[in-house]
Amino acid sequence: MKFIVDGTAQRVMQPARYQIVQLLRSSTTPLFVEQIAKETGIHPRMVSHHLDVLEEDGVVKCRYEISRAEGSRRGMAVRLCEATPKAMDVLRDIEESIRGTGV
Amino acid sequence: MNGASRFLRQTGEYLYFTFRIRKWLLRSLVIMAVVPGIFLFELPIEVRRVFAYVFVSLMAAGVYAVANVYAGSAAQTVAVGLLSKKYRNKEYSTPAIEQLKKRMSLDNVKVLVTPNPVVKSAFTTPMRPRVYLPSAWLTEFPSGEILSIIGHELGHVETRRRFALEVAAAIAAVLAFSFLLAFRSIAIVVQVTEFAALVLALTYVSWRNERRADLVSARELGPEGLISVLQQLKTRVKRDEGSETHPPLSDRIRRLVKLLG
Repeated sequence: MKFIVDGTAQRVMQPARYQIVQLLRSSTTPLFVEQIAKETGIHPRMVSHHLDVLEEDGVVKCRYEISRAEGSRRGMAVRLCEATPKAMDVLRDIEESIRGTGV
Repeated sequence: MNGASRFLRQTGEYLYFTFRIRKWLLRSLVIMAVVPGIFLFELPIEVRRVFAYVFVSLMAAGVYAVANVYAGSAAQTVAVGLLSKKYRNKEYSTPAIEQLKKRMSLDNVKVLVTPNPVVKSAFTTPMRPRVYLPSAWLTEFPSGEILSIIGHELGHVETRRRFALEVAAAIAAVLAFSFLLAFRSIAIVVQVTEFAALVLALTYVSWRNERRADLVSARELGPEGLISVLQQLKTRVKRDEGSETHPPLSDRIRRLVKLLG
């Protein structure tokens, strides 16, 4: 229940953020913003905002990579994100608290 | 909790009018005052009696329902002042907040965090330039979103004069309307109609004021933070239908999402 007390769980409980964390947890490879936006139906600018918040809390780890867009010779910097082990602990705390309150 | 307060609380919960009902109560009061009200003297005595019963019942329900809401929102402002010794308000300042205040030329505004349990949401005091935040929000929302909330409240401070003018205009319009009504109706009908029309007009003005503050926050900091906060708050409300002071959260979110492009 450590993450309920320090507020990390409440911040992750924001509906869009919770959806993003669940998606990153279930994915085997790191995902970039456009991919997350497409999968969840959340606006890419909102996805970036939520990733900033999640990264600040250490729930998500992001890095930039230069990849070549299809049909183009120019490289593009994409932000690749993946869930950290902390994400699993936070989600477990949330699930336990929901079960505990009988919601 | 003693018997009397338990009784009051239970009655309050049982006699809770949703915003939709409150709005229709007031609208029907205005419609009744205008349509049968102006022909009151020409109506037969039986009809006049029925009119009086219906009008008085609507009046009692309307006044009770609306007074309840305004008392609730006034309680926050009063509580932070009256209980400031029991619940110490602490000044909250970060470099980002100071930068925002400077950018908006609102350096004189104090941002305070209060542990007072009566305070359930952020608000601005009507006279002094102060922004209050419930202390629990500091852990519930990330720092970037807290800044967006403060941006919204600073928006209220920035557009305070415009809001005051709009309130004055609403009062003037209602008084003009009731002045015309006074020629054709009895005093109590005119007075009750004044009250009902004023609440309806102030709701309109207040909603505009909230949307303007949302725009100010979006202009200064981008709409992302505020959208996220409103989405989180939406999960906590039973009915998202707005109130006399605030538009529905879904409407505010929709307007801010449009700004994302």
